Amino acid sequence: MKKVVIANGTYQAAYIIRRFLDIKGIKLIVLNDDEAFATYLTMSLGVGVFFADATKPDSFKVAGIYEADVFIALSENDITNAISCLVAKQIFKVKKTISVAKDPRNVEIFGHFGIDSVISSTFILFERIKHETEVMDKLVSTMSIDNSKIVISEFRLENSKLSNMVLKDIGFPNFANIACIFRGNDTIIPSGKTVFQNFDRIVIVTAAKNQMKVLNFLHQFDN
Amino acid sequence: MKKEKILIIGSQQLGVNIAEFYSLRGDFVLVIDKNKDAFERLKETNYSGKTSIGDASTAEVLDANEVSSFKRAFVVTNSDNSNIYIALLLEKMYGISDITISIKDETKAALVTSPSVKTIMLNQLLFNAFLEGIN
Repeated sequence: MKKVVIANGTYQAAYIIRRFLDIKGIKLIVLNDDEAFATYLTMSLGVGVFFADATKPDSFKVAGIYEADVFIALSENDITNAISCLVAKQIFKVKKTISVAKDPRNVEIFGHFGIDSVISSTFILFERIKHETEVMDKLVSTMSIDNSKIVISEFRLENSKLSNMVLKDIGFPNFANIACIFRGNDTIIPSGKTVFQNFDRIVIVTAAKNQMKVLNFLHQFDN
Repeated sequence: MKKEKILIIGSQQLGVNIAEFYSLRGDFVLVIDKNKDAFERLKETNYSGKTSIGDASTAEVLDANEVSSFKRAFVVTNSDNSNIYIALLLEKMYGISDITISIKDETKAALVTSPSVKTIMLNQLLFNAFLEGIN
């Protein structure tokens, strides 16, 4: 049975605890330094919560954290998270420490401290926006039909490994169709044997919910 | 004697005493504290070094004060967690190799494993002083 420790945090912690409770083979230990929230967690989720300061080695002793498999630090305070992970790792020999970080720069800094994994929602959000911006850059135009359920996207092929590749070999997703390819002044209705060329503009028909998936698929061939 | 660059984080009584000591010795001293009122105590001493207001647990403040140019640092805020955290930052991210920190909760001393960081155990010092007083 895997021993997982969740230290501090509020509603984010409640969500993660709830998800872990659904997984078999996990022994969950919960610590929280906010008395009111510790009570809320016990009342709403039915889990035992140690109301304790998760940066103090004494709290770890009481909660039986020695050699736990995973320690997850979810405080709003980055210093609290870093120190509690260090107590877990250095004194209580926890195998893996995971921390959230409010300041995105702490993703790198915590790594230097020896914390195994650091998650910053701001960092993830930025990376996601950056990725989508890059993807959208290649999107020439898009239009929707049937009350926005169906989307027609035009994707420009530029610096892509898809150039000179044959359509049937690229594993194009089956939830989308290539309606046509604009090549210079020509319009090509593609078949499996169609070979892509640089600067092709690929017109794709897909359900709106799958648009990003298709664009991400094409994007993975970028040089 | 060659002038040293001394960085002090935390301007409570201990920080003030260290700052005054090095300042009187003629060293270049910078004290950082996030609370500007904390510098009032320094004004009552013979300190002639610099002060800076800011949270030294953030890269912005440490970068702005060019802390990587300091060889020696004392991290003596009221919070053990902050002291350990800032010491790690100064060592791992700014390359300072001579750091002294104060700690009240001695169970946290095990977190400081680097030879670059020395710890002053405040309660232990206080207890020893009591013992001396009794004897």
